[in-house]
Amino acid sequence: MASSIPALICDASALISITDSCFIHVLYMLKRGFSGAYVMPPCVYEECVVQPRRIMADARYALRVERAVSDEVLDVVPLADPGDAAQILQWANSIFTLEGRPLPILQRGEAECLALALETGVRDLLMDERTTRLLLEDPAQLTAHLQAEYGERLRVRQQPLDELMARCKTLRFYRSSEMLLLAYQMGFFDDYWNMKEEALEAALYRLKYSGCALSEDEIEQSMKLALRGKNAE
Amino acid sequence: MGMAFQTAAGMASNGFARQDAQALRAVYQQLLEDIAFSYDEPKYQLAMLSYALSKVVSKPRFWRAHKQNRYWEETRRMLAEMEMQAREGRMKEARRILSQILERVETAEEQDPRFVRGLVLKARIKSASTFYASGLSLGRAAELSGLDKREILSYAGQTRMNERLSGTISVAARLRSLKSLMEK
Repeated sequence: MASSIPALICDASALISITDSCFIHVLYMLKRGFSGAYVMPPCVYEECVVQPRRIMADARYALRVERAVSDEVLDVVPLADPGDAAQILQWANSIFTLEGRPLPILQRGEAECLALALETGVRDLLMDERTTRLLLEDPAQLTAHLQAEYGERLRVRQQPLDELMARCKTLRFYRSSEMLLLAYQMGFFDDYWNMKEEALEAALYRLKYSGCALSEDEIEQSMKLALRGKNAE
Repeated sequence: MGMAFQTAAGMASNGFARQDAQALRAVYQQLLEDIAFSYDEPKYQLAMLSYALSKVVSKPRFWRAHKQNRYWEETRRMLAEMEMQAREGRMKEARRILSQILERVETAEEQDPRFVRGLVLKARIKSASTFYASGLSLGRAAELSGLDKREILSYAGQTRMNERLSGTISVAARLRSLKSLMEK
């Protein structure tokens, strides 16, 4: 995949929140005006389609993602070099130690998304899980959080953190909530007429309860943005 | 590394014998911390058992429901046996007994239809959510607990874990950036 094509790399966490909340059509809507691609590494496809499709209780979520792939709304893009993900994982999982032992914090799926971004030159990722995002946006806050959990025994190794940040610091993260907010601005809830703001708020809470790492304060920020846009009309 | 299995087994056995939910939860917490470093199946099973037993001793209906047929007395005996086997280096036997006790706990609560999801499953979901809330990634929590990411997200979404951290980038800034991307 050429780096000149705009793209959004999708992590399993965001696809899970979106399908669980029945908002897969937000991706369809935003895709219409987007010349780029929504892509996922094979690991994410495995987690979102292959595995849940075997379980009847989860199959409908898997089929929503599979249909989006069939409709060419989502693409699966393999890593050119699986070693890239392994390297990212090695760095990330060497940053924090507890009593001298490394504390692994990331898993292959998250590492593959980061690796795919670096391999393709794509800077934009859709990710609802918060640790990866926090690690790269505000490692000091993640450190403070881990220290609050594990106490003074937790230490940070600067070298792997520096290696990871050198490569990943320009990456930009979005959540399913921002996708929904943008879709709202483009008319996704217009058929709710005078209830569309209420529909947006309900939808944001639905995403939150489906696992999107979104705080109540951020929902409030989102609603202010939505209403600001309405008042500007 | 961390707490040895036989030590944890002894603490769980003693905690259950004393009907000490707090002691059982302490074993669960310590084992989870060990597992966060590297997955260890016997320790994970023992953690789940300790959590489940902490619920048993703290719920009078469970305790009384089986007191008549000495159900929990037999469970206590099995825990002591498991500890002894572990201390004498017979880990295979200790693990076999551990599996039997887990099955026993699951069978016990089947008789209470109010508990739709098993105690042991609840323990797994709780442990996964704890891993995620503590700062490990969703994927890492799924890896350690053996649960699906969806299951963990669904539980975690109902908690207040995301209220505890402040936002790194404002919603407005993310939205501007996203809009710029989507207009390409």
